[in-house]
Amino acid sequence: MWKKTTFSVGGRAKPAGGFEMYSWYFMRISGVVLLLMALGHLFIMHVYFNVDEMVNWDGVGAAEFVKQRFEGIGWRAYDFILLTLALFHGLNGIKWLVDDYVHSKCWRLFLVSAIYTLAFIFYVVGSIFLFSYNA
Amino acid sequence: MHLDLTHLGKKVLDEKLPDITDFVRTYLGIDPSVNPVPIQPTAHYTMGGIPTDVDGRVIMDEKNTPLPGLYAAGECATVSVHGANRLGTNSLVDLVVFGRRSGKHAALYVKNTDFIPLPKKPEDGIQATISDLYSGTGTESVAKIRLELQNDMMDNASVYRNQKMLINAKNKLLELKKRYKNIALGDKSKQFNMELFEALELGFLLELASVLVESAVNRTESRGAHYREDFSKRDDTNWLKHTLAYKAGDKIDFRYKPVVITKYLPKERKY
Amino acid sequence: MKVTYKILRFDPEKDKKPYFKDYDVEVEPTDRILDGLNIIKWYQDSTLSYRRSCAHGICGSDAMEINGVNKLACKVLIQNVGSHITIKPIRGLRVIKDLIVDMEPFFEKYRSIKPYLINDDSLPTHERLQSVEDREIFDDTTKCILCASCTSSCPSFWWNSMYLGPSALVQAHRFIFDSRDHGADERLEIVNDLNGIWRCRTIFNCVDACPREIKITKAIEELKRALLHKHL
Ligand SMILES: Cc1cc2nc3c(=O)[nH]c(=O)nc-3n(C[C@H](O)[C@H](O)[C@H](O)COP(=O)(O)OP(=O)(O)OC[C@H]3O[C@@H](n4cnc5c(N)ncnc54)[C@H](O)[C@@H]3O)c2cc1C
Ligand code: SF4
Ligand code: FES
Repeated sequence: MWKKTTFSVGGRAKPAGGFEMYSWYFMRISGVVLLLMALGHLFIMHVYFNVDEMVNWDGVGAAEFVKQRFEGIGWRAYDFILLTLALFHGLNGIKWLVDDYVHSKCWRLFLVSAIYTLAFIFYVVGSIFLFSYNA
Repeated sequence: MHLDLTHLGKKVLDEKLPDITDFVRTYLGIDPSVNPVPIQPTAHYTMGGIPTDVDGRVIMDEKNTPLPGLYAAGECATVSVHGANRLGTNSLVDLVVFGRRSGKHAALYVKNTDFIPLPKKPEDGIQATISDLYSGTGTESVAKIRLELQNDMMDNASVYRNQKMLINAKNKLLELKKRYKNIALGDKSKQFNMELFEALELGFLLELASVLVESAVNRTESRGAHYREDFSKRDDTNWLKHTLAYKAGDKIDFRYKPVVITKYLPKERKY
Repeated sequence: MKVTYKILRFDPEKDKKPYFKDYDVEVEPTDRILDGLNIIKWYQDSTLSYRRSCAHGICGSDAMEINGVNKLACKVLIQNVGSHITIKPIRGLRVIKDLIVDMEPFFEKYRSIKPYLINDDSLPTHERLQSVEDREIFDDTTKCILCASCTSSCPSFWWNSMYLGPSALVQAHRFIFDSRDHGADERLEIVNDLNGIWRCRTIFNCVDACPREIKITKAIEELKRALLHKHL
């Protein structure tokens, strides 16, 4: 007989609302969007305007370029979305690894908390930089 | 001998006979839609054996007296819907119809019956059998006796039989039964001892083979799946009856039960 | 031809640890791996234990790891494997003895998806009919013989034995997409769990292992999509 708790982590009943389903869906969608955006980023930064060539000894060229890019809200938004998706896609991936490999309840709790804390810190720092960058 | 299925084409074979097609491909390396398939006889069905009524109750004698509390349904049971030969695909009747009827009847029976006192040590019989097998120090092996039994039954008691063959089989069985008493197990372990299980099974196989062979010797006619080369016609005057076999020490007693004909008369098989 | 079977043996009454034992066997190239095992058991070493019954890929009892891949011993011919045959029990389930593993956790997961017709309509007077197209939808998953080749080849299952595993998901698919059955919602919620369908990492080991050539990953993806449709 199937009992609700049988196949859930640590003997808890599974969380209502199907977090795992949304998490899986998020990975699929963000994966596709990230691929396109990363290609876009690559194209703009390294093919169309070649940032590597702009860099001179003091890095002034590149900084100048970023400054120009961030003048409008469009690029900031692009980078913000890129940051959001890449961060959560990556960290969710690490959480999957933890789910797969870490069986101890305590370790799992510790690692998943660490992942969420890191995600939070990176997200805040990244956002502050993106929106307050004023060159 | 070959079976030619090529006229059916690949699509029909894959859709309608996927398993058989797969067997032929896997085990013979032949594509049945391209080449004919070599065939040979095999034992594919046991036509019952345990007589029951239509509610799956096992019956004990010619007067259809039920043995209280014992039920049988499926391939092991003889409800006698099939006559003397079960035709292809019809065994599902035994499962779906008589399996259901037996289950229902058994449930009802259990509701209206109380436990009866058990004999003092009901496990004694089987425990003795098992410990005999464990402690056997003879020189015979289960596998060798079984192989000889298989070969003997295939050669002397299969599709076409006659008096001489069946008597051969009977004598061989006597010999094998004697040798069976002299087997030793190589595996003395207690858990998952598959050799012990095969040894027990072999004992039962030898008894069943004797019932089959001796009742075939007795039945001097041909009917259904029983074909005697020396008595190739059906003989309703003497043999329109069911065989009942009873264990009497080392011997088998045979009794006979009349056949009740309702809607369908026995007919000669014309194919 | 002469072949060598190298078999991982373990007798719980004697051995602390499993060990390999070699057997030289005379076989025909067209014999099955199972035939060789039988020759060993019957004529060389009757203590060798393994499950087998039908000998033609129908009952699902003789799944084992043959030269590193999960197969049914009765569905592989010796000529397709070569003369060195290494056999181990399937992984991820407790070994009871030699090649026999404890299948109970596997069947517990099978039972958890309610593998029977759920339909509370009043009893019909004749069979519940189904169109050819409706039957086609789940035809593939009806072929499962519960041999556990897939589940025991799945890294996700090795990592975490709580995972339902591909076989139970195949069985869930078989009922969820059956037009005669009304238990789809109930079963979808059973598999909608961290240890249910979402532990599938699309590794495809199951597909390679399945002796019935069921497109297991496809069936699992169909279940995932059904869940999304239901909730989004
Ligand atoms: C290759 C093949 C093809 C067939 N094709 C068809 C077909 O197309 N159509 C058709 O109608 N019929 C067909 N049949 C026949 C039909 O499948 C069988 O008659 C039917 O499945 C028998 O069902 P059963 O429940 O009576 O017995 P089984 O299915 O044999 O069940 C017996 C059960 O008892 C168990 N058992 C045995 N000993 C013990 C013990 N000591 N303690 C506990 N359990 C025990 C066994 O493990 C088994 O599970 C076919 C048969 C074969 C072999
Ligand atoms: S899906 Fe295939 S491999 Fe898995 S249990 Fe069923 S038949 Fe075996
Ligand atoms: S013995 Fe039945 S599947 Fe191999």
